[in-house]
Amino acid sequence: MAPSWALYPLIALATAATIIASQALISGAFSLTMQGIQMGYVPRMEIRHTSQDEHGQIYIPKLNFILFIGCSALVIGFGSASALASAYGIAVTLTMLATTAIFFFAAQRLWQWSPLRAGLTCALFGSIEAVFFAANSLKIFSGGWFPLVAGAFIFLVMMTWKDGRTVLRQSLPPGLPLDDFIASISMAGTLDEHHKLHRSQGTAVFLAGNPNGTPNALIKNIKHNQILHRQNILLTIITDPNRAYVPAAERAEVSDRTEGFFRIVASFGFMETPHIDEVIRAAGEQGLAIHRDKTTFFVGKERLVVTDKPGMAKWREHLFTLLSKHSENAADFFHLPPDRVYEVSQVVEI
Amino acid sequence: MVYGDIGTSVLYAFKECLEHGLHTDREIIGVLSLIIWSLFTLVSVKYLAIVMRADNQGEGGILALLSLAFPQDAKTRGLAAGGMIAVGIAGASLLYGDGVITPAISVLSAVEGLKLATAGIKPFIVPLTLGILAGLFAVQSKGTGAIGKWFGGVMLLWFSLLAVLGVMHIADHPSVLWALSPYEGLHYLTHHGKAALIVMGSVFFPRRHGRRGALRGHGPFRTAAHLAGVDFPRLPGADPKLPRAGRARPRQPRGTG
Repeated sequence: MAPSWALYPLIALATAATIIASQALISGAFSLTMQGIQMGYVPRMEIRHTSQDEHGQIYIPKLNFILFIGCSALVIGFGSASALASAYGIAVTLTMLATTAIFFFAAQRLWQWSPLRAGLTCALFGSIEAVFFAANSLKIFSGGWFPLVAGAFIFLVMMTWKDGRTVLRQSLPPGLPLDDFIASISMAGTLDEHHKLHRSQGTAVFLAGNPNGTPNALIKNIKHNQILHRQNILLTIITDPNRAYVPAAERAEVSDRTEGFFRIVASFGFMETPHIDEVIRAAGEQGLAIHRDKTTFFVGKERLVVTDKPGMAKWREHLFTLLSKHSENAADFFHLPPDRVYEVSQVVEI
Repeated sequence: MVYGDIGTSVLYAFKECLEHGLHTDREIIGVLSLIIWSLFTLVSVKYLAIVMRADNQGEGGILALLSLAFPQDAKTRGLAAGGMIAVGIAGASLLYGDGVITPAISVLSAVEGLKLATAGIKPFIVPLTLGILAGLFAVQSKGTGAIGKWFGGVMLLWFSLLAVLGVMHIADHPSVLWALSPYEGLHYLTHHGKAALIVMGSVFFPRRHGRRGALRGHGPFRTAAHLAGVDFPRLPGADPKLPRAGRARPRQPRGTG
């Protein structure tokens, strides 16, 4: 239908356009993964920002590698576009159905649609999508199994990560409430020179998952090293799963807990990547100066041991342990200066 | 990402239809109408007009929608919420499958286009495709702003080309415009239920050029096929009627599943 001299330019144009379309999918996968990490559905992975001015331009090295391997395997395994075509379509129609189902609830909550109105709208879309899905399900055996198997595996990973973190939280030994801890430090301060706790120079920042308890690393440091810094900051970094962005003014909540103890609760939205420099900046604005390179960052690390304790099925606990081992550690994820980090590990039975 | 996929799988239903029997002009127009209206409803009405409005500070995607429908930490979260969260995570998981298939199939099909030019290229198609994919994934770490800059121009060129060719062929057989009437699609659906199912499966079934033999039909079929972009290197969003790519792009840097 086009003149023959136009063939090569057309192929070039077609290739350019397919690359652009593929790019949209790859960027979409990065974005989806970042949301998943921040919402606690996907194990932590390194997220890099590739552009200073465009917030959403991100790059996730591990995912990029996985996608490349997956793509190459498909090209080699299926060998031709028409063979691959039969693998295509089932996943997207199922995702559309899932979106419709969630939309039924979102519309009622967001826009106060009546259940009838939301139901009718979703029934319209759902019925078209159901026909598309039924049509696509005809090719499950010729290739459509691939996205289903891949999806099932990823679903398993995501659900295990999400449930595992809940189990982990519940399995952590109950920490000493911070107020009690500070009260005991304050009492120790009144003891005579000989028994007084040594307070060393500088600032220690403790990453604390629980904003009310005393971090394990802080207690261990006193127990084993008899060291307590002059200034101690207990930092909890929270990703707000319900907001994409948190305004800079609401970034950090700083409270002075006396005896040289400060508590910072820093919030980020699910489209933001938490960065220690941003926390330091926000704390500085509230009058708490932290010198990045004169501070020691204490990071707790949980070493998981699978036991018979109730929680998840044992094989899922093993999977969760494996995922934890391979997820990026908190120090790197929050961009703590590597030579200022002190890791303190703790055995947790799940 | 969802609507990104829809247009990527262009309207290559016709080869399928040919295999399952498409005889009269009315049937061809019915199939066209079915495709146009089902995709129009899903892409334009569902995603662009409704679902995208439910964004979270401008961020869309199934997980963002999930957090809007069932805010985490809400006291009211019950069993239904737990079930729907599983549904949402399943939807997100499935997107990765398509996320891997799309680059593989689109680059492969574009490279296969070289077969039209040189038959001898055949043994090199897979290695060449792997090379292009390796390049595509290698540049990700550098940021993809450059690809983004090219996006507008390349897509504009592509859509204009399709529009020109489409209009030329419509001019040959204006009767194909009846396909714009939803009645024709409904008529086809009610009279050819099983075939309609197969047709709709094919909408998500990206096929490509290389069907010249099959298309040496005549009359409206050729027109319809050409209109749908068959007989042409396969491309994302080959139907200029679909607003998908154009709308999808501005959000793309932050676009999501």
